[in-house]
Amino acid sequence: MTDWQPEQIEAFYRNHSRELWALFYSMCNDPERACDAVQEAFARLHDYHGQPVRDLKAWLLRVGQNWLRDAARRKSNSVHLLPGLDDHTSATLTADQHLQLKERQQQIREALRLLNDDDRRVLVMKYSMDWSAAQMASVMDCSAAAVDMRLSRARRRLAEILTEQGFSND
Amino acid sequence: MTNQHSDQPASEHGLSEAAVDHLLRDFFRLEVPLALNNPVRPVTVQAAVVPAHRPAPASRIAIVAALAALTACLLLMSSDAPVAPRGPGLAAGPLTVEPAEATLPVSSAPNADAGNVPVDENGLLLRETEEIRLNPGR
Repeated sequence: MTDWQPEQIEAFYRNHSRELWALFYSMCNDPERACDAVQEAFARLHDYHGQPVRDLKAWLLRVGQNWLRDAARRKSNSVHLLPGLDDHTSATLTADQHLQLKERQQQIREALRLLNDDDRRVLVMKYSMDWSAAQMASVMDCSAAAVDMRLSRARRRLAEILTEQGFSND
Repeated sequence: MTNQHSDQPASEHGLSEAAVDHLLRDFFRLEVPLALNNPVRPVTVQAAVVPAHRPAPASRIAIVAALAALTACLLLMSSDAPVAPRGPGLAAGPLTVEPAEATLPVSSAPNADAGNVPVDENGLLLRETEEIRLNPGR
């Protein structure tokens, strides 16, 4: 067991798991895999017996990142299932609508994958966590105006990629 | 956050920045796992026993009301039904409640002969009950 108490780990999980998910998501572009990386990082923290962990977030990020790297190596030998929308959409959509939504999600996911790392990261931080420019600026160590510029640039690039893919926004 | 998105499309037939903003909001609403929208405790820390289903108070009240109505119906039916003849000495009224039988003593002092214990008020002994034949006609 690490020197962190279970209650502290739980509190950290509640407050930061979504942020960690977003960072992992920006690396792998796969919501389920990013979620697994979060779980894996916390599970390893619970069983950790090494040196005291000073910066918990950095430690979890490193563990999750390593796990993602290993998972990417194994990926070629495993069956990869696309994440489903069933949990979110339940019975409110017809089968056709559900299929359309799934295709649309996949198109946007693919477009995000084609962005460079910086553009993808800034979009994921903005839209998956709904952070303000000021919050993002403190993490990215730049001004809020610079964040807005990066966001704008990333959105334009994503629009170009989606247009090239023949994406229709009906 | 900024809402000052350019409405100029990225290309001639492309999406505007505002459209991409809207698209990404919808996209991530579905993309973020539900488990992270409603954070759960890490499973490795402690296993908690959660009841599978706990009826809401309203449904509990409904169940009690239904049972009460059913009991009232049964009582009403039994009071209207013709009364079958009962055993000798018992009242034949429709809602007569028979007195509960007194507990039969079937054991005595620890060192006494258990067979000599009387089991009814006529002095029938436990030993004698072994000779009683059930269904003597068969």
